[in-house]
Amino acid sequence: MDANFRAFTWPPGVKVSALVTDAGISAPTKQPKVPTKTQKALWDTGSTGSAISEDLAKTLGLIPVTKRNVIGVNTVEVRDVYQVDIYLPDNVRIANASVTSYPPNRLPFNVLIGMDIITRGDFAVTHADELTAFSFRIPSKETIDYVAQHKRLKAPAKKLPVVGRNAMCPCGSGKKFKHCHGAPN
Amino acid sequence: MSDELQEEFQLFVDRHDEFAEKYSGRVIILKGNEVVADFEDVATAYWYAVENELLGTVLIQPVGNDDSDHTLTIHSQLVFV
Repeated sequence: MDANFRAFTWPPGVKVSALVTDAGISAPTKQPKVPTKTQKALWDTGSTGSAISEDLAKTLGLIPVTKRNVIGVNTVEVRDVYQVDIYLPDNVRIANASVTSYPPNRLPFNVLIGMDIITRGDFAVTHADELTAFSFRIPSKETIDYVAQHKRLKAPAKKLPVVGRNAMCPCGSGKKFKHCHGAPN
Repeated sequence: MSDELQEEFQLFVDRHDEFAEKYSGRVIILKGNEVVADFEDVATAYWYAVENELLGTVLIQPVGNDDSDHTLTIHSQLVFV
């Protein structure tokens, strides 16, 4: 796996019931410019897209670029859409993301990170020792498969072929095994 | 929600099939009832609009084959209801 990615791990130090990280939000800039003020961002796999509060959009002076029909369980509402840069922990930057606005005072968070951003990378939540650890990497690098991992751990170790001391070493060095990988330390 | 872009958005929704046929996979800039440019991604369209149009007067809209290009679905009824 190459190391060409950005990532952060958020260990709150307790077991949590919601994934809420810091996030800086700004109007798009061509060069990264981390906002001085951070917001609380809820990570929500139940939302197809990301969103920010209308209050935050006003505070930042954002201008709508389009609209979206927002479909809830019993409602459809047309809301403004803005372009923003999102700065996640450890300088993980999502440039020029589309975010839909939601009405003020609906959530104790100003930012909602939805599946449009989550699906750009690898997203893992674990609870070893009853502690939540949430890790996010962008772009995606590999599949996390706990079933395959378990099978690998259960599989018996492969037996290595027996090599005679005077046979040629299988590493291809051209030396006898006893003078190569079979040599006593 | 602001009234800005309401007419352009409604036009896009009403004529979605027509736009999808012509611009699927692209991001269009809709000014009034006319597509003035189309781009590969939203970022390029956004910077074009910043430099050549007045933000808030043009619709920057990704075009897909179905309603998901202009719809946000909240499965957990928390934020919008």
